[in-house]
Amino acid sequence: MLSQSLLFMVATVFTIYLLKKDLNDGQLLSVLYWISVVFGGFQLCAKSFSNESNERVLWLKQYIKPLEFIFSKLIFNCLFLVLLSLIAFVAFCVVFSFNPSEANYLFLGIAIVLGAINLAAVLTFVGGIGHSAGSALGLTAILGFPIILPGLLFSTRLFFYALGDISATVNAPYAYALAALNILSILLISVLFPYLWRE
Amino acid sequence: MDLVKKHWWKALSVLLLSLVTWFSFTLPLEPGITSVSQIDDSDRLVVDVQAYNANLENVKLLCWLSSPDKKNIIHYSGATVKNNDEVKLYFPKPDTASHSFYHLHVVTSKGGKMFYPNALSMKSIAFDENFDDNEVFPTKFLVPDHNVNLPFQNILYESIRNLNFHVTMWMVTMILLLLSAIYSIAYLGTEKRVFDWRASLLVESAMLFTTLGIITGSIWAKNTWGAYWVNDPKLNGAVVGALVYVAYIILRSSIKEDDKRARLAAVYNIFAFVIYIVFIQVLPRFTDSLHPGNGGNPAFSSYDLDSTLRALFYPAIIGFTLVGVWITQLKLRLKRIEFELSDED
Repeated sequence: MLSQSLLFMVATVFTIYLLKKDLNDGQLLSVLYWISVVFGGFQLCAKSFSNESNERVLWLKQYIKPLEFIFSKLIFNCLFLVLLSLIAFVAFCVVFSFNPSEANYLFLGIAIVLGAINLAAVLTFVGGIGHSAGSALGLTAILGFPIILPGLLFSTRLFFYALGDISATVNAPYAYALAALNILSILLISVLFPYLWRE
Repeated sequence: MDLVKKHWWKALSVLLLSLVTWFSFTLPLEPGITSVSQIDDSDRLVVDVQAYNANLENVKLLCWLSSPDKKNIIHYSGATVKNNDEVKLYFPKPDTASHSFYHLHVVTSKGGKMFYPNALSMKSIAFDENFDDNEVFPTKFLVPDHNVNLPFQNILYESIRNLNFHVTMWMVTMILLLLSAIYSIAYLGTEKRVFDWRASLLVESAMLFTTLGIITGSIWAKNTWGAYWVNDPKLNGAVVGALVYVAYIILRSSIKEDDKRARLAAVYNIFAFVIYIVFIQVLPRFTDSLHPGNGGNPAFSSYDLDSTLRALFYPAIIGFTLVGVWITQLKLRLKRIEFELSDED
């Protein structure tokens, strides 16, 4: 599953490269980068429920508390999507020979880490809903896309500003908003997931 | 008596909406200045003023220019009324000194006070250091019969009446969605079927008001911004918000078992409401928006939601909310009948 997601991510980056070889525009780059992270997120997190076999889920439901389950899934998915997005960023830089020397590395890191955590958390939760509803991927995409948009807008904007090293006074509100959104989503998920888990 | 106790709010909603609609379309707009052009004469300053709804031929006038800090005031020396909506004003030409912007004030004996900010830019002499507006120009005595008017806003003109409908639609949408989220929480707590019905039907009613809000907003945008659809964070937020709740309706339709559908829909609804509020209320504050209250534009309340408009705006919200609840109640009754019928089979 892990190598699958990694391959998917790198393949997405390479596809973008094949479609458009000279990419110097920071705005376009950040948009395409986040689109590919979203694809990777759907591949990894939204499918993380449907990848479990039914017997295993039944067994888990009997022996494990819902909060333990969702937090283990969240921690794994968040960490792995952060890793994937960092790899994707490196792949972007290598493939497009993009040199982020002018970038504000602190905010770039914040954008990638917080943005990926937000995507992973929301998509894992929505994947859980889709899985419980019985139709895994189609419904997950419909439910997930509008809901990930606020975090995606914040992280894309922050990412783009950080690439051009725009001053911290412009960047900081976006970073705070993204962090607040992350806390809010994870709180909501931890409150709501036990109801989803109940059968 | 029981009938009155049970249904008084329906009568109230009809009454409120009739009154709001009637007054929103019949109350006249208060007079205002639409444009000011400055014609420099040799010995005096001539200003051509285009007014709206001012009825200038039948009133006495009192006009003056004031600097933003109110320290420099120039009283007019004469006026030629061309027609009801156009007047030429003459001001003594100040010789030298500070260069600044001037606001134009025109007070008529019938219609009240008109004001045009930053009308002129010119040189003037300092008039008086501690000048009191009302002392020299007794505006209060000049306004004998103040009618009930809607506020005048440049660019908006008559379309300000739409505020009672467009803004109200969005308020009602948010109230209904909030109620729906509360019912979803209640469902998760109690597992009573009726809460789930209410939550889903409230979302459907809210979507009706969203559609109306987009339509009224489109018409307003065409008249003030020049296009039916503009790139504005609030508009994008409206579309994404609608998408979120369409996804909710699709989620409901794709699950067959009643209990599971209710549970999943409630979970999604609560999450969706929080994201919706972030999208439509928090996100627009981060970018420039044409809407008042966002991205440097002052909110409506700060400059033109005056007492007349307020007296119409709040009843409109109450009236439309009650209508929304009424529609939902009718749908709920239908749903109950359908459920009872399917139960008998």
